[in-house]
Order: sequence, then C-alpha cells, then structure tokens
Amino acid sequence: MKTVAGYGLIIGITYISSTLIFLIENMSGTRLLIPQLLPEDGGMAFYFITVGSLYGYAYFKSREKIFETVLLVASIMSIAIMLVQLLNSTLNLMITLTSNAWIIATYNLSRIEIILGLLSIPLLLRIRRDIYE
Amino acid sequence: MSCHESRAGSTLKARQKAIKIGIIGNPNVGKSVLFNKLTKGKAWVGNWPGVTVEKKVGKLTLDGISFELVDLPGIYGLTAYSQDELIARKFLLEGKPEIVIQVTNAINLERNLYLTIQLLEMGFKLVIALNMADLAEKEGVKIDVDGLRRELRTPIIPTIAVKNFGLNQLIETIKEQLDKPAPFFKIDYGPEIEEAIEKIRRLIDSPIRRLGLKIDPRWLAIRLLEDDNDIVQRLRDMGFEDIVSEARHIRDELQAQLNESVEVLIIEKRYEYLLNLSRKYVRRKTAEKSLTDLTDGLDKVLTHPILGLMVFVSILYLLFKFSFDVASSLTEVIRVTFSQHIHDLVKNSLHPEFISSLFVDGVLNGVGTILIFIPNLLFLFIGISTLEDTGYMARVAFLSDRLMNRLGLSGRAMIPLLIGFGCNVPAVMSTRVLGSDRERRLSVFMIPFMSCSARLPIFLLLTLAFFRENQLIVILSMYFLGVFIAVLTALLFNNLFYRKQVAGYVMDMPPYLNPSIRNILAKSWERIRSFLMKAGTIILLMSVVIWVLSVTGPEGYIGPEALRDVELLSRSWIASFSRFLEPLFKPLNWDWRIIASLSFGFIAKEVVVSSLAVLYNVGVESLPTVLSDSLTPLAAYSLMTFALLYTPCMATVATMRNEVGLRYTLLMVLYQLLIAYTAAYLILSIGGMVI
Repeated sequence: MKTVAGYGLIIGITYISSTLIFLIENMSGTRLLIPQLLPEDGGMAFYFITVGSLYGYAYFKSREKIFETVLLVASIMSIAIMLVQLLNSTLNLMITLTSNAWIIATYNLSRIEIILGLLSIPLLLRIRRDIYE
Repeated sequence: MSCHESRAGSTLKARQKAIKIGIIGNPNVGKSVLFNKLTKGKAWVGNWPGVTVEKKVGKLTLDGISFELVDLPGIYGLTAYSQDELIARKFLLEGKPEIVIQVTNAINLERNLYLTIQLLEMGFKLVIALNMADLAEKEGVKIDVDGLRRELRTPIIPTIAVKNFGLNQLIETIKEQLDKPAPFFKIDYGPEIEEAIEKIRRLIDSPIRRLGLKIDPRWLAIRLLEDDNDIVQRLRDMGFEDIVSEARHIRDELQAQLNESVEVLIIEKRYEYLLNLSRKYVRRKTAEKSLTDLTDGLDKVLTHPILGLMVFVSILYLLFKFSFDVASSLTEVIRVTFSQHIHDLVKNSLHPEFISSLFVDGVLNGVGTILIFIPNLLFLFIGISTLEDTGYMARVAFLSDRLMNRLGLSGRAMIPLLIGFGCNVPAVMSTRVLGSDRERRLSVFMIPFMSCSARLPIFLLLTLAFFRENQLIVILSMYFLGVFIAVLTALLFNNLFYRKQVAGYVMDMPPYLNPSIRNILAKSWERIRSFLMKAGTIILLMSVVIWVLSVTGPEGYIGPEALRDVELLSRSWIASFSRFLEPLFKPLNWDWRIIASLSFGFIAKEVVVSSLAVLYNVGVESLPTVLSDSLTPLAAYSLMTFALLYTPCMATVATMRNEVGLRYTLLMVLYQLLIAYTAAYLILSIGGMVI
C-alpha cells in the first residue's frame, strides 16, 4: 500500500506544482513552462489543486481505511478531466480534418491533464480491485 | 390457467373504469423507476430524495385491463407534517386507490416498514415491492420474505426495478389482490390506549358507514388520539364537531391517566412492533467489504467540509467544461448545416416572397437559433443526470446544510435550487419537499436567480460575440452572480419577514451506485425533448408573432422588406412598443430591438435569442457579428446580467403564484425587475469608470 500511496503522491505533487507555476506565470506575466504542461484557465487550476490535494490527503491517510476511498475519488476525477479533454480533442480533430489537423491533434493529446489522467488509470484499477474483492 | 384465474381475469376485464393504483414509498427507493418501467412513462427519476414533488399519473394496459398508476411523493410516514406527506395522504383518502404498491428499499427495510404499518392500519390492500433486492443481497441483508408476508398478511414481491426483475410477478399479484378483501391488521397499543381507541371507534363507526366512506374507523380513532390536525379539520368539515370534541375529551382523560403524551406512546408502540418485526425477519451479515463501507468511505471525502466543497466546485467546472467545450464543435456543425444548407433550400423553394419571408425570416431564424444549442444542453443534461444517478446530489444537499442554515434554510433546500439550474418551473414545484411555509417561500424567492438552461443561449450568444477567448469564465461568472444575488435575497427576506431558527432535518443518504447509461440517456432525452417541445411550440409561435409585428405597423402592412430595411422596420408595431419603453432603458444604452427581445423573454427565455435574430434580420452565424457592432463588451455584460436577473418566464411566474400566492409573486416580479435594472446599470457605470 505504501507504494500505491507514493505513486499517488507523485501524481498529486505534479498537479499542485503545475498549478503553482500557472499562478506564478499569471501574476508575474512571465513564461516559465510551455502552456501544454499547465492548467488551461483558473477553473482548471482549481480542479488541479483539488485533485492534487486529494492525492496528498490519501498519502497522509495511507495507514487508515479511508485512504482507499480518497484515492478512488482522486483517480476518478483525474481520469474524468482526461476523458473530457480527449473527447474535446477528438471532436475538434474531426471538425478540422481538412487542415493540418494532425499537428493540432497531437499537440492537444500531449496536454498535462491527459498524461496525468493516463497515469491515474492503474491506480483506479488497483483501488477498485482492493475495494470490491 | 386455473379456473379461478380465468374467472378473476374475466371479472377484471369487465370493469369499465381503469383500476386505480397508488405507488408510495420512502424517498429514494425507486418509486419513479418502477412507475416509469410499468407505464413506460416519463416521470422524473433521480438517485436523490425529493424528485417526485407532485403525484404523476400513468396508464398501463395488460390483457385488456386498464390500470391507472399514480406516482406519489416520497414520504416517511402519513402524519402530514410536510407538504408531500399531505399530498400523498390526500390522494389515499380522496383518490380511493383500489390497491397501493409500497416500494421499499431492501437494504434499509426496517426504516420503510413504518409507512407499511401506517398503510395497513388505514385499511388498504397493499402489495409491497421489495426493491433493490440485488443490492441488499450484496450487502449481506437476508429477509425472510415468507415470514414477513405471513405476519403482515400482505404480498411481498422482491424486485430490481432498474433491471425489470420481478415486475411481471408484481403485476400478477396486483391482479390477484383486486378481488380479495383488505387484510385485517392491528397493533396492540396496550389496554388503556386500546380502550380509548375502541371508545372513539364506536363514536365514528356508524356516521362513517352512513356516509359510505371507505375509511377504516379504527385508523381514524388512532389519528384522533394522535390529535391529527388534518383529520380533525376533515371531520369538522363533514359536520362531526361533536365527535371531535368527544374524542378530545377521551384523549385528555387518557393523557391524565397515563401522565404522558398519547401521541408519543402510540409512536413508541409502533416502533416497538417494528423492532420485533425486524429482529424476527431481517438478518444482517457483517461483510468485510460492503457497499455501506464504500459509501461511508466516500462520504468521508465528499462530505468533508473543505475537501468536499473543493470537489463540488471542481465537479461543477468539469460539468460546464464537458457541456461547453466538447459541445462547441458539434454546435458548429449544426450551425453550418442549418443556417446555410436548410436556409438556402427553403428560400429557393418557397414562393411568393411573403410566404418565403415568413418561413425563412420568421420560423427558420427563430427555431434554428434554438436548435444549435441542443449539443450544449444535451451534454449538460447527461452530466447532471449522471450526478443524480450516482447519489452525489444528496451529498451536495448535506454539504450545503451549514451554509443554507445561515440563510435561514435547511440543506434540503439546496435540491430545489440545483434543479433551478435546469429549469425554474420544476424547481419551484419541488420546494414542496420543504417542511415549513417560511422555508418554501425563501427558496421560491431564490430560485429565479438560478440561471436556468433557457438563459444559457443568451449567454452563449453574447459571449461568442464579445468574450470568445474567455467564454467559459464569463458564463461561469453569470452563474456565480445569480447565486450571489440569490443569497443576498434570502438574507434580506429572512431578516425582513422572518427571524426564526431553522430546525434540522433528516435526509436519507442513498448508497453510491454505478449510474445506468440507459437511465441517464432516457432522462437526458426527456429533458431535451421538453426543451424541443418548447422550441417547437412557444418559440415557433413567438417567432411568427415577432415576424408579423415586424412586417406590420400602425400605418398598416409594411411587407417583408421591413426586415431588410431599418427605415421600414422602424415603422413597425414592434418598434413603436419598444420605443415607448426606450426612455426607461436609456441609461443602459440599449437599442429598441434589445428591449423588444427582452420583453418577449417573459413568454419564454428561449425566445430572446431567436427574436434578436429576427429583429436584426440575420442568420444564426451572423448574429454575434451584428451584435458586436452595436454593443460594447461592457454593455454586453450588463445585458447578460439583466437577462440573468430579470423576471423569469411566465411558466415560472404561474408556478410561483400557485406555490406562494399572488401577493408574494407580484412582490418577487417587481423585486427582480428592480434588481436586474440596478445591477445592469451599476455594471455599466462602474465598469465604465474602471475601463
């Protein structure tokens, strides 16, 4: 369980760091990282902080039973935003298929929430197995 | 088929009128699902309490026999403390159902049995649907169905309504029960109370028989001992004042003899009976990993005061992202198809110009503008339905209890407010689940500020024209502004009219369930369908009315050219009316066409965008461009604010009148107009100073 909690914590830290860089960039008006690795807007930044906090909370509760359900919520939220972005990118690709859409599509598929969502899938599967079996 | 069965069948077929059946049960046990499955009807279904606020009627015909099924609000008892309990009891007493189906939740059967014994005491023929039997089994709940059936002398059918399991058996049982007498059921309340019940029963027995009322006199006697205001009033209305006084006398004597409240003693006896029943027939295995464990664990996160709130706001963001970003590309496809291909096809195939203009400028511009918002609404409804089905909405109500208390409301009031984001009409109606008139009024005052889905097209149009880069954030700001004004309104009205503490409330937390895709799609389709029906009827009619008012004027018929010539249009009826109002809106710098569109918005908010399209005489794709030429971004934001806050549509106003009376409705309409005007003016003037 310690490994599972640690894996979740790394994902959580990535969410939070990405949000902090987004906030610093916004406040200072400078560019520190490519936009693909940061939340899209203020709403997404709040979403990132929530998911990051949940992963962090799960790590601190990893000795308690509640750990599993916190991780379940965190991974579901992580995967949910990934699916929404994937759907968005796919539909946009279909609409703009006639132009050089494959570049845009590949670019959109490399967004941070998609990467972190993919990384959360094994966690969700593991936790689901633990909860239901 | 046996001889007895065929005889029963032919007796049933011989009945002229439909057989009336009431469907009753605690909140969130699956009544609406069962009702929908049986009637293939359209009742609102959701995994959160308080969804059915009025009785809904559906038809079912089987083997030539007609049944009329009535879906009643979810209640815990028949004591008539809240509006929904009153509605349910009124139906049972006055609707005269031949059979009552009580839908129970097999997981928490003990809690459901209180209502069962009240129904049996009333003397109804009851059929119990032991719903969610699969989940109960998973939970390790073992119910001795046969034993319970014998004890209650009532048929009990295990069902899984969402999977159609047990429904045929349920219908067969109903048919069998029709020709059987109601079971005799009696709880022993102890010698003193029983003696008092018997005395009152003897008093009312013969008058009731004389009047031919199908009410169990023993039940009436118990209700009189419990000092049930509704029953007392009903008996007084029937001219039985002397019986009521005598019953009061018997009750007072008994109370003095026992030195305790008779009502409390009766309730205690009922619970004692229930406890014995549960001990005898319900067994719980303690499973290590169970649904309750998972639900409890998830609740620790989702109802956590800080994390729970963060998750709630994030889920709202995800919901809006899903419905705006994802739907935007589909909207584009519909926009192009509708405004170019269909528009051209109709224009070229219809003659003369008068007819062509009526269809292209009136009907197509109006309805077409609404249709392009279908993807947005569909995705929004899918998201909301998913949240309802998982059981998350009940947690939102719990989470908001503390906040709502500050406004003088209980957390349960959050449910009507959330429904308000979909449509204000069912939201106002669902305030009936709230206990007191004060809470109901306060909630009704707040609901019109919850931005309903019909206002969304206005926001979408204006953000598309002025805030393309920050469309999502600007629209979200409208939703938050609505909530903010609603909160201020509740605080203001609570301080002005009421200064009372809010009592806590008991709410069932349904277990978290995997949502059923079929149910989600059906529910979303139902919501879209009702939106389309509006677009197809009211909006179609309004678009034609606007077109007529635009091509005619005080001088007579102007012709379709008026829609292409501002000079001609300014001689129309619509221009005259809006010009009459123009001085009032001068501080907001609005074009008379905007005033006209907002006036039509009183009929239905959906009409605002379509009438703008008609009045500016442009197609769907050009409307944002035209608007961006005639308004500044600040004026557009001010217009959005007005559209958000001003008087709701006439359907909502009519519902408000039904729920809180004409006086409060008029007060609210004026208050909203004032708030909307002030807010729009402040945004324009303060914004003008800052920018």
